[in-house]
Amino acid sequence: MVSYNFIREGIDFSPLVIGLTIGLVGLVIGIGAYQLYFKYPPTVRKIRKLRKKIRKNKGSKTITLNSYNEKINNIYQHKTESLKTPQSESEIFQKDSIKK
Amino acid sequence: MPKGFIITKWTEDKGLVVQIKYPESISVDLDDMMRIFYAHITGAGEAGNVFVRLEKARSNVSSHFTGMESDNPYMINLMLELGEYPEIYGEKILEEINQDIINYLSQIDQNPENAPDLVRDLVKYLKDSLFLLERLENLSKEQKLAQIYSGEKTRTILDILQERARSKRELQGVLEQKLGRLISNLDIVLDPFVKTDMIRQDWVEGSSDILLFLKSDFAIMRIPPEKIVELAKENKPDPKIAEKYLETARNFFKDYEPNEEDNLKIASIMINPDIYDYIVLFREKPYPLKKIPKGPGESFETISALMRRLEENGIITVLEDKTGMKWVFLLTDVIAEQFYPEYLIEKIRQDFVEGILKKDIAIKHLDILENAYSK
Repeated sequence: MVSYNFIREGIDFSPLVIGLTIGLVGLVIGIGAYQLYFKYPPTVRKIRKLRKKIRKNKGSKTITLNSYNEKINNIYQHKTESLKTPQSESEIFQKDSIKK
Repeated sequence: MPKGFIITKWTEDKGLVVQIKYPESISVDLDDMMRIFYAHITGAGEAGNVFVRLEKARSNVSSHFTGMESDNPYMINLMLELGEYPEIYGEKILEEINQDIINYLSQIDQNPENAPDLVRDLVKYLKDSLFLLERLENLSKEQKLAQIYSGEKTRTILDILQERARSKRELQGVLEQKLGRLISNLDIVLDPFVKTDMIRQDWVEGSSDILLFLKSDFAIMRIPPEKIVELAKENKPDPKIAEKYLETARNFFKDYEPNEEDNLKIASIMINPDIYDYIVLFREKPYPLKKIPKGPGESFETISALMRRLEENGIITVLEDKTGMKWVFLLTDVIAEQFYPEYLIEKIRQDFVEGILKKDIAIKHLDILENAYSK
């Protein structure tokens, strides 16, 4: 009579553990990055960055945002959209130089 | 609420004489009138405005004097409650009312034979003006912004704060320098800025004064009236007139560019409560000319005058449909659009780097701008 004992090898969980750990760490980093940085609009991020520099008495590069005239121009363009037709697109609804 | 008008005249023989008052029931103390007169003439007797507080009469008085050199030196006294200031009505409107009253008085002096009728007209004008001033205490937010733009003091304050944050004392100094006159009550002048949430008053440690930070800005402009354009695209009220309207509107905006002169005109139109009510009405849909709703107490002549003014200023256009019926369309909607002043962020950076702006003030302004953005 022959009996066989199958020696079962233990299941290797290490890839799973490694994978889960990496995933978890990635998730924490992602959530952290979102909560601390990406959640905020770009303008708020620029404000925070500038404030940090000022607190440390450091200079910073020019911040690119809409000037006063550019902002008014954008508002005007948006508000006149309703009147535009394909023909009038090229007409002077484009006010490049709206000033205060 | 304004109490009324008292118009006095300086005469060589009788001194100060009360000419007209409205309402009739308003009490006049000649001693008080003399006090106001002295306030004027201690400024070399020139034409101008003074503000006087009368404790006994429990009134504030905003008084305009035509000057000792005028043919008939008149004082036009607007009687207010204690705690009320003429600035709440805006600079322009009181100037216009005073000028209209002076015109009436000149006509009365030049045409004594028609004096009774002219006096009756003037009294009616004073009554209407008081009603207008009461309504000016309840302007919409959009109208308050227009009021800021239309007043020289408030417009200048906006220009100053668009540069950087200032302390109240500094703002007053710069304002007086730019305007070439003294500013007596800055808090009242700042009232529309506070009510429209444009500024934040705050204190920074180490500062001896309250600072004023701009956190919102606005622009005045004409734009196509959205609902009317949409209705016209749907061929309402009828296809022919709708097409005519769209062509008229496109032609207008092809040549239009926002500019200060036109913006001042728009702003003064917006702060007139009667006219503004019609603009709000016409934003919703076009109206047949004969079916324009009347406001309380408005006659056909009043409405015609308002419509004429709106048409002359390019706010409305009158078009005929195929049946010959005239329709009133809002041609240009006049708006005061608030927006976030992101340009201030770079200004703060630049001013700090150049040493113009202190660190604590720069940080405080950035805090305020961050909170304002989040809202």
